[in-house]
This record gives sequence, C-alpha cells and structure tokens, in this order.
Amino acid sequence: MAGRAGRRGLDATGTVIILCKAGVHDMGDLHAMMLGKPTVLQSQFRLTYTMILNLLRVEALRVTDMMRRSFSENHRDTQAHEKRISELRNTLSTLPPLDTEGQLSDLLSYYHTITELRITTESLQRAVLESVNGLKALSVGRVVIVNNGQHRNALGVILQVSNDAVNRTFTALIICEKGNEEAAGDDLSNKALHPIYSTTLFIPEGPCSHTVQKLKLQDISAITAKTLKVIPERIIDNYNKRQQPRFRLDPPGQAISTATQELLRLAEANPNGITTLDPVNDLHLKGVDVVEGVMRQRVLQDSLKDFHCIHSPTFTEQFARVQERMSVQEELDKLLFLVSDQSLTLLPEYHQRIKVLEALQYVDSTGAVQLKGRVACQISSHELLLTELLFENTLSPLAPEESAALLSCLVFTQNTQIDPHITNTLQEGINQVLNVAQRIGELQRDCGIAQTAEDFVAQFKFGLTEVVYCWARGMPFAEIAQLTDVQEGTIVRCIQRLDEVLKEVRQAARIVGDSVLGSKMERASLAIRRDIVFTASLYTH
Amino acid sequence: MAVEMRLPAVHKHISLAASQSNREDKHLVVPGDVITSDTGFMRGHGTYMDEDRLTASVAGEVERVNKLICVRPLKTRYNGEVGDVVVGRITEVQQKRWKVETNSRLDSVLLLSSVNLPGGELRRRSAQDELAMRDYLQEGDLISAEVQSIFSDGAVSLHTRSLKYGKLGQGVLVLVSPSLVKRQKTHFHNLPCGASMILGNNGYLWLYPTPGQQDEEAGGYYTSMEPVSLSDREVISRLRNCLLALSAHKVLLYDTSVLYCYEASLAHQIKDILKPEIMEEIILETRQRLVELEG
Repeated sequence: MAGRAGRRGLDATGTVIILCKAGVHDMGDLHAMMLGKPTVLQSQFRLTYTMILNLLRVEALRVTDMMRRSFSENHRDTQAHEKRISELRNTLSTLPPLDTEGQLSDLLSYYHTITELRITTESLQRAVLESVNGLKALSVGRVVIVNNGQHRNALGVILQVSNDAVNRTFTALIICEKGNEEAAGDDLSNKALHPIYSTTLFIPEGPCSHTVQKLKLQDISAITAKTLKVIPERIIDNYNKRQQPRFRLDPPGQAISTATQELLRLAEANPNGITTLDPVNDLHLKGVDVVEGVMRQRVLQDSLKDFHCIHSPTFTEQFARVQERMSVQEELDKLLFLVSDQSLTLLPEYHQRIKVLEALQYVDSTGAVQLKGRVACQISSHELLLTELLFENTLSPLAPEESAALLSCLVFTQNTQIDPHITNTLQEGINQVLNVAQRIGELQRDCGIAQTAEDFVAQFKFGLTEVVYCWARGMPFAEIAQLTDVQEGTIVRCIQRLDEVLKEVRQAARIVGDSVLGSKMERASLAIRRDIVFTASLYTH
Repeated sequence: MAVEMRLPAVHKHISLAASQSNREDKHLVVPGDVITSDTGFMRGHGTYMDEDRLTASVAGEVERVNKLICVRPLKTRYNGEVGDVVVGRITEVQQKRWKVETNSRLDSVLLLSSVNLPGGELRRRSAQDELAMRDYLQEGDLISAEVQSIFSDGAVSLHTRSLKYGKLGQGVLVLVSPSLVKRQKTHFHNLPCGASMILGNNGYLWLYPTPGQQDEEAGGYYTSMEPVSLSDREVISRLRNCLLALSAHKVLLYDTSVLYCYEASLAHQIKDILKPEIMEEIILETRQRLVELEG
C-alpha cells in the first residue's frame, strides 16, 4: 500500500493505493486492509533541553508556541473555542450596564459573597450526605428545609429515600401555596440564585396546600432537628391517586392532612428560622474541610447583613443583571484559560526543565542563553552531561584514544556480562562521569522531574570502553570482537555514533575557544575512522 | 552666531562609592598578564598558554565558567552568535547574496533564500528573483536581521525571515562598541518617550519614530517616506546624544539604562548633553538610579 496522508487540521481525508501486481487479493485480506483497525496515533513529542535552548536563543519563537503545535495538544478544539469566545464577547458588550451608585456600590461584592456561600453550602451538604451520620439523619420522617426554584425555605418531611447511591433522590411532602403544586418545568429558574439570603420560613398566605415531589440533594438546604411520625406509603398513594384526573377533586387523605398540619404548625412556631443539624456538633463530622467549611459559612452569613445594596429599591433588577453578566464573564474566562498557554499539558514539565537550566546556569534569570547553554545547543543527546564534562575539564588529562573510549558511554545502551579491563586514567574518568551524572540526576529530581537520580546515572553504560580504546589504538576488528560479548553490528553502530559525538564536541570546543580540545577530538576521530567500521554500505548509494 | 570651542582636557574618572565593592571583584587584565599558573583550567577565547602559565592576549575582564577561563575584551569587533539581532549596511550585491557590513572581522552574508519574498510566498528562488535583488536591497541600505548561522571561518550568515526584520526607513544610526550592548530577551524596544530603538548586538543602534499602526502585509518592504514631526525628531536627537554619552562612559546599554539617561537629560538642552561636564552629571544620575534598581 502506498498513499498520501491527509494534513492534520487541513484535510478531511487521505488517499491510499493498494498495488495488486499478481491479481487482486482475496476478500478477507482486502477487508482487513481497508476496514481494519489502524494503530492509535500517539504524540511522540518530547521536551528536550536542546530544543528549549535553541528556541530560547531565537527572539521570534517561543517554546509554548512549539508545544501548542504538537499532536498532543490536538484534543483542544481551539477553533470552536475561539468562535465561542467572540460570541461571548459580543454578548457581553450588548448587556445593559450595571448601576453601581449609592446604595448599590457593594453589589458586586455581595454577588461574590452569595456565590461563595452557595458553593460552601453545597460542598458541606455533599460531605454531610456522604457521611454515615448524615444518611441516618435523612431518614423517613425527618423535617427538612427545601430551597429550589419552586419552593423558598419551605418545610418538608422525607417520605422515601432512593437506594441509588450516586444520584440519591428524596421523596418529600412539602407545604406550598395553593396553585403552586406543579414543579416548574424550567430548570433555569432552579439554578438562579435567590438574591436575598434569609432564613425566614415559608408560610402560605392563602390556604395551605401540599405537594409530594422527588428532591435532589441540592434542593435540601438544611436538615432540621425535628422528626415527624408519618406513614409514607399512604401519603404517596393518596397523592398519586389524586393526580389522576378522576380523583382530582377528592379531598386529601387523613395521613396527608395531619402531616401538612404538623408542618404548618412548625413553620408558624418558628417563623424566623428553625434549628438545623450542625454538621460538626450534631452529625459528628470531624474532617478538616467540614469544620473549615462550617466556619466559613457562618462568617459569610454574618457578613451578608452588612451590605447596603439589599435595601436599594432596584435591588432585584440590578442583581439579575449582575448575575447575567457574571455568568457570561465566567464562561468567557474559562474558555480563555482553555485557549491560553496555561492549559498546555506539557507546561509543568517545561517549567521544571527551565528550573534545571537556570540552576546549572545555562540560562540566566531573564531567559537569555549563556555560554554553557550555547555549547549545549550543539549537542543532540545527553546534552547536560556532555556540557558539564566539557566545562569540568574531564577530557584534558586523557589521550585522544582514552577520551574516545570514555565518550562511548553516551552511545552504548546495552548491558554486557563481561566487565572490560580498564586502565587507571580511564577509571578515574569513568568515576568523574558518574559523579557528574549523579549531580545532574539529583538536581533534576529536586526540580521536580519524574526520574530518579539512579535511573539517570544508569543510562550511561561503560561496557564498550575497552573495545573502543583498543580500536582507537589500532587493533584489528577480529580481535576486538573477541574482547566482549556484544554483537559485532552493535559495535560498528556504536563507533559510528561515537564519531558523531566527537564531531559535536569539536564544534563545542570551537565555541568555547579551546583549540587543544578541538585538535584532540580531531585526532580521536581520525583514530577510529578506519577499516571495516567506516566502510561505505553496500545497500545505500 | 556664537560657537563654543574647547581644548582637550583630562578625562575625570567618575565612580560611585556604592559600586566600589563589586568593582573589586572584576579581574581586569591587559595583554601579557598572567591569569593563573594552575594547569587544571581550560583556556578559552582571549588567552594563550605561555610555558605552562595561562596568559591574557587581549585587554578585558576575566570570566570563569567552572573550569573554563576566558577574557572578554572591551574593545573588539563583533563576534556573531546564533540568534543575535544585528543592524547592518549592504556593501555588495552579489549573485545570490548580499554582503552586509556588521562591524565584524569578515563581512556578513545575507543569502537570497533567507529573505521573505514580497507577498510572503514560499517557493524556490528563480532567476527572476536574482535579477530583482537590486530592487529590494541596494548598496548603502540599512537592514535589521538575525544571525542564522556561523560559517567555520567566523563569518556570519543573516536572515530576515520575520516581519520585524527588513529594510530600515527613516531614523538615526549610532555606532558603539559591541561589548556595551547587553544581551536580553528582546532587542526591539518601544520607549515611552515616543521613539523606538533597535539595539543591535554588533554595536549598531538604530533609533526611529514609533510606527503608527502595524501594517500586516507590508513587513520589511514598506519604508515610510512621510515627514517625521518635529517633536519626534527632537526625542530621537536627544536619545542619540544620550547613547553617545552612555557609550563614552562605558555604561552597559539596555532599555532601562537608556530610559534613565533620557529622563536625567531632560533638564538640559539637547546640544548640551555632549559637553563633558554635563555628560558626567547625567551619567552620575543614571548610574545612581541603576544601582538603586538593583539594590
């Protein structure tokens, strides 16, 4: 098969041509080829120090731009977000302006307080419900205060608790106005905040009526300390019977009427608010979050009295406007965050790596690349280790052959069983390399990168040092293959890659200005570039 | 018309007491000074080995990075680094490249493939493009460019592949030593006093009036020939004199130091800034403010 893949983000399809030279393939094969499951595409984008340093050198590019274009950020639907952002901005500009004169000057802070209060209360309620004591408290017969779009601080008694642990619903009997029995179909009014926070209980002005409804957790704003004796099945049956058109005009049953009367009496006895169960003292929830939440809730409730804006005549209208504006603003902020740099998945790793580079003085605090950073830009792999080795002058006491043997640890990645025989100077060099690697590994760990120092040091394997040393001194290939158990192909490949590393070190020596090191690397390169290892390949030309 | 004339006088050395402490830390050498006799150090630029002793070959400050010792000279030609912003003047138009003079040892090179085509197309440069080279950049034109790479002999290869680089229009060029320009994140500054500045790393500084609105497609091809207002020209002249004052007293040039010097000079007339005593006054004030900023 051959073809042209579609360009990411630009084409919707690609083209594939199946070449059938010896006749068309059979159906099974064709089926697999055309409709089989393709491999899952995964981003192989890795943040390397070399890439970061090269991008920091150039004024025009930023590393975050590069990260944004990688495939791993493909799940962000930036185009759709951008469209929605412009829509929201238009809406925001067409909203009526807020009146914040005089008494309404603290309207915005009032809105924020109310929102925070609502969020705190909701999290407390969730904590209450997840606790064992809370569930016990919300059993049949418990009187609760209901607060949703339809009911405002109305008293209700729990009849049934559903078994579904995830979306627990409570069937409850609630007192309400006559005519207000049906639940408001519009969900939006449920979400709207009540502008004024009060604890005054709802008492019907006209004849008291009741309704049996399924409540969600958010609708129950408080659990009172009172329980009533009720017979849930009779109440529910009676209510459901009267929902049918035939029995609509029947008077309510006895169980319901007594329960309603009880609730009404309770409400009239405590018009300004009824004692509720405190999560900390009564339900014995001792978690830090719960205790702090309760304290914060109390502080917020107290602070609500000090606001002037609730006394203003245009309060409700202005509050509605604030709410509208704030909801648009919140959505806009959320989308702006998603589109911005802060939501890149690789951003934390980028900051960690920058910290490492600053600690090692490759970049200064303003982000300008220093001499060490410029040297590290030339090196393609193991840039930190090699740059540190260069600046620690580890290669100067070694002869060219020995330095080539030492640098073989950067290209050899296998484990060997046979330990190589190494001269003393080489052993010292190896120890120095391990020290530097340990230092870098620990620094990376301190800055937060998820790789232990031991793993970092274990990357550098010295199995081929003897082999390379002997090769650089002129030993024939047949003999050096005897020295180790590594396969011949691996030896050839490693020595070829070693030549690349030596070239990079030569380039680095030119930047630094040390001609001695440069000429040493050139001699080492000449020493290893000979014979079968560097013969041109038969297959490529 | 009264003309002021002066005889040359001894240059008074001004220094601040506060900065004496960090002045001691700087190790200044002249050619032939022995830096160290320790053999454990690598030698970098500006040094040589004289019978086992590391000796300086240029006059400047000794810099030590781990085991590397190099000497950074004060007066030097520009040594290119990849990523630097430079301002240069076209000296030759050759077959597929321009030769640009950038105050370095060898003329820099601007390849035809390293400039943006008008209209922003991406294609291979054809013979037509070669013949049209002179219509874009001629001998004597000033350009701002970025260093793309360095040849093995040290010559610098430039590119203008961004909308902010390209041919420079109306403005003033100031020449200072390359070692006085501080390496920062960005070298294009829009100063609040009403002018813009390009601090080229090669010591060529370009002052120009802040462009009105940014034209998207124009890029490096559009050079405005509209007359510049008198107020803008006064600001630019004052900035030029400030830059000359700063470079005469070897103050490191970056946007903050230039701005402080400009504000200190507002008390004097533009042409007075070049008089030695007024120069010293302004530089003293600038240095004090810079020390306060750090401390």
